[in-house]
Amino acid sequence: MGQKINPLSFRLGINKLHHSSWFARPQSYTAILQEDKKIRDYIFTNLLRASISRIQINRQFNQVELQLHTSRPGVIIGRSGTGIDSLKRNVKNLLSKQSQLKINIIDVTNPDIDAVLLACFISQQLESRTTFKRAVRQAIQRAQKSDIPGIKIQVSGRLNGAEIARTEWIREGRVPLQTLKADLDYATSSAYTSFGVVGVKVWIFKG
Amino acid sequence: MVRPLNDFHEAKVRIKLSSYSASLLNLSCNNVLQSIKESNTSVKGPVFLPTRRRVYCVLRSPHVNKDSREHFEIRSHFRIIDISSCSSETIEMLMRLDLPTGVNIEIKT
Repeated sequence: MGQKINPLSFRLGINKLHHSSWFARPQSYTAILQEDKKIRDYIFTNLLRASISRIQINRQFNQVELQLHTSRPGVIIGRSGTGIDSLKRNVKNLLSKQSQLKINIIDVTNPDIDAVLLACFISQQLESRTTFKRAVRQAIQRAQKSDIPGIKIQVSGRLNGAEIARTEWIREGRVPLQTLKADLDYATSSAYTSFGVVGVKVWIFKG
Repeated sequence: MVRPLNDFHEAKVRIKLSSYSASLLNLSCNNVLQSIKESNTSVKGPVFLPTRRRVYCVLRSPHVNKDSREHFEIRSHFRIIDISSCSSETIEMLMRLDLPTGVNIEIKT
């Protein structure tokens, strides 16, 4: 029995790029990596409602460039820029003293075929106690409005509060996990329901 | 970094480029070479230093199963470009050069 590798890491040299782009000597590598992790944790916990699909961190010398890919840029920017100012201040506190910070906010053109946003949508539905089949069907319908060749969604855990946990998956179209040149988007999300944690995995084949 | 070259016109400059991605690095090398060759002809082309490989071996499982592991590696690629007679204009052009973010550049005189 084999197990499936994460399709994003499988294609790193081919279709996909790393989420952090910088070079560091071994002495400073760990410190910079920890900073990156602090930034991502801060952004995920504080900007939950802003539907962020990707956080790209680029570093060059002392400059840190943060690119937030989001489907709701208005929520991050806030009224007349207050949101983004406070974000900049708080993130700058997490960095070392000599770094200069630049934040770019990039609008996700089609949030319905973004795996991260779709997985977040499903987990939010599950947390508000909808039946998982309905949540998954809604997500698939949303995605199919933009013609994609394939989508697969897997949910596992105590579905609908059942005593015995199980895994269910639904696939529409084709999702070639073994094809390296396939443009596959993958995301995981956890729904913290009152019965326990339900895991959601979404694969979207974009051609 | 680079000392100010107001006092002398000729200097030997060594540019060391490093990156985790060989393709990005080769692109940046070509960019640097093109911008230098416009003002200088005494350039020694990209010298490839050996690639350094850092391997991390981790357990695959969150609990027990010591025999099943996975290897991850980070490959660091290095290139050197030497300029034997460098003018201050070339240095200014190097400063202004825009490289992709995954590439680190160090200039030494």
